[in-house]
This record gives sequence, C-alpha cells and structure tokens, in this order.
Amino acid sequence: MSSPRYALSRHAALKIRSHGHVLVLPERAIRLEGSGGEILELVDGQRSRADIEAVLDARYPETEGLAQEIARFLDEMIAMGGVVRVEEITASTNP
Amino acid sequence: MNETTPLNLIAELTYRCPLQCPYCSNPLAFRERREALSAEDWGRVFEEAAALGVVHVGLTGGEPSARADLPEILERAVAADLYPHLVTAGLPLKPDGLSQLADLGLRSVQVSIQDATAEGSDRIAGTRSFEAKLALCERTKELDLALTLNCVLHRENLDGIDEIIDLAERLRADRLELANTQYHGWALLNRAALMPTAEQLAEASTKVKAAQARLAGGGPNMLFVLPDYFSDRPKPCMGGWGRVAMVVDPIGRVLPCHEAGEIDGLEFWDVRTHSVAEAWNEAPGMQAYRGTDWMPEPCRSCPEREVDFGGCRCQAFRLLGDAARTDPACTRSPDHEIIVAARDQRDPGFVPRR
Repeated sequence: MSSPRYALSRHAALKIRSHGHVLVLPERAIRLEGSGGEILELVDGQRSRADIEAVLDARYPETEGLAQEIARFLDEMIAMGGVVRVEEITASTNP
Repeated sequence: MNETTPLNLIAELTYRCPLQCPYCSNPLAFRERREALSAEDWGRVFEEAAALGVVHVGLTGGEPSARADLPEILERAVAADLYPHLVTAGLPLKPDGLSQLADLGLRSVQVSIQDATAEGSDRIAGTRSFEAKLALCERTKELDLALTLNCVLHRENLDGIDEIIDLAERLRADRLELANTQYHGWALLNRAALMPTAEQLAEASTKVKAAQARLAGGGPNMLFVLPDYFSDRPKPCMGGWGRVAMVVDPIGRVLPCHEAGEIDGLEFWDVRTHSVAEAWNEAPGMQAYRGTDWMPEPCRSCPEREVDFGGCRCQAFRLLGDAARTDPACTRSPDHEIIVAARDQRDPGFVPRR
C-alpha cells in the first residue's frame, strides 16, 4: 500500500501576502504561523507526507522535530477542512 | 503583519435589493444615495486591498446581482488574487448567471432565506422569491461551489428552526448560519416586532444542539449564536474596529463595518479621493475606536477588553447617543437596563423595509 498524498480541499486556497501565508476557506481566513505556509505550499496533490518532510529537511537540515511538526500541522489542517488526503490510485491503467 | 492588517473585504456593490426584509441592514436613508463606484473603481479597490493583505472578498449589497456589471466586478476580484464569495438573496441572479460567475472564478455562495417555507419566507421578504432561492442553491451545489445558507432569526421564524435545518440538509448546504437579528437600521425600527422571547431562544438552542448531535460531522456546519440582547457580554463586533475586516460601501467609503458611516461626527474617506491604504489606516473615523486606548470604564480595566473589543460602537451610538460608551449589551455597562427592558417590548407586526 502506498502512502497518501496531500491536497488542499476543493474549497480551500492558499494566498501569499507581504504579511505571510493565509489559508482561505469559504467565509474564513486563517493566518499561518511558523512553517505552516511553507508546508502548505508543498501540499499539491502530488506529495506524500514523506515527500514534504524530505523537501523541508533539505531546506532546514539543522531543525529538530520537523517530522512531528509537519504531521501535527497536517492533522490540524485536515480537522479544519483545509487539507484532504488523496489515496493513491494503485491499480494504474497506464502501460 | 500587525494588528490592523485586514484579511476580509466586504464589498457592498449596491443598496438596491428586490426584497423588503424588516431587518434590512441598509441604512434608513439609502434611497437618497446613489452607488458611486464603477467596475473599474472596484478593480482598483481589489488590487489595493490585496496589496494591503486582504485575501477574501464578499461581494454583497443590498443585492449584488442587481448590478448588471457583476460578472466584470467578479473578474476583477479574481484578477486581484482575492477569494471571491457571493452573498445573494437568490435573485435577480438566475442559475445560468451563477454558472457564468463560476466560470469566471467564483468560489463560494451564501444564499439567504427568510424562513423554511415559501409562504413564510416570501411573506417576510415581501416578495415572491423562495423558489428562486432554492434553484440558486441547487445550482451552487451542481457547480461544486461551497454553499452557505443564511437565515436571519426573530420571533416569527425561530420556532421553525428544525425545518430550516432540514432544508439546509436537503439542499446539501456546507454551512448554515442561523443568524439572530442584530438590531441596527431597519431591524432597530422593527425591534419590538422581531424580538424573540428567552424561552424561544432556549428552545431553538436546544434544537440546534440536538441536530448537531444527530448529524455528527455530516450535514451542514451550523452556526447559532445567542443574540447579544440575551447574553451577558457583547459580541466582538467585526473582530474589532478596523482590525481584520474592511467594508467599502456603495458610495465608496472605507468603513470598519457597514453601519459605522451612520455614526455622527466620524470622518471616513472615499476610495475615489484616497488610496485604500490611506482610507483604512489614517481616516479619523477608522482610528477613532481602534485598539483599547479609546475605551471608557468599565471596558478600560476589563480583563475581557481584547476578547470583545468593547462590543459594538454602532449599538452604543444608536441606543445611548454616544459611540464611545460601553456597549449596553454588556451586563457591566451602567446602561444595561435599556437592553433588559427591550427584551419585553412587543409589537404585533413589523414595517417592511421601504
């Protein structure tokens, strides 16, 4: 079984402003603190959690506890309705 | 980012509306005012608001679809990288018109109903409109846009709250705003006809909780907040004066809320003579009640002063004649007695918005 990919939910959007990143949902806007914005930039429907970790690990090799922080943030975003897990299509019809 | 970086723009495109709701949020004198901003003006407002930090725009009114150039205004909101949300009464916009707006980049829609049945809703709206509203809700879902159903609550429709919830479920609404009437403008004029009883509110609150338990995660996300006339503390109106939400009204003024332009003696600036940033940051009216320095007692020393920001300045102005006093909805306000007294004033019928 392959790991799920992460995507913004269908009504969510990520906006980047001079003051930082903001997750926008219908009639709701959530300012993203810390690494939240950088994580969401990588939530593109293609990457799994391990992929996101790998990118940020390469960017911040000195940072401790990155994996836990990413996991916690993604869970929080899922609970809020901003992010969804996309199960990988395993039975590919491609040759 | 600082304490006054706006995130949400409330773009009041027009005062016009085909409905005559007795709690209309239009100013009483709206008929004497002409909408001033062209689609091009709105485009500039959107660009400047986005540069200031705004991410979400509610296209509202009055009824925004009363403007024939709504599609062009929407296009400009999308071009400015704002998340566009439409707040509509459900007409004169037609389902095909909504499809066109979705093609242009609309993301979410709020449709108002006045009650759960055609008879009740049309009577409160003063216009046959219920069927058009339902058709627009259905198209919203077909287009895979987010749907919020909004119903303003008052004495005449509170007892039917279960039916309103059922309707939202049937329409597959993502959110249901069960919005108790706020007594400004026309609603204040009709206060004694709209005021619910404490028993009605308690019963409605119980029904909402039961429905939330029954739907448990499925069904619409429901928002029901006790009206400030029946709670101990005022609402954190607009999330604080000039803090996160910016209103631009149909005559072009930048305001902290849609009602603030009615407060005597406050000067707000027009987007045709000032940049949006100037009008937001520097207009004397915008600065008047920002933060906590303006607060009188009991707010000044209150531990909750940054929870509710002193409540609603417009309510203090309307009920006490002084926008700088503590919102009388607060039990700590020396003027709270007038709120208590208003709970028991009852008139049989309302005056429709003229």
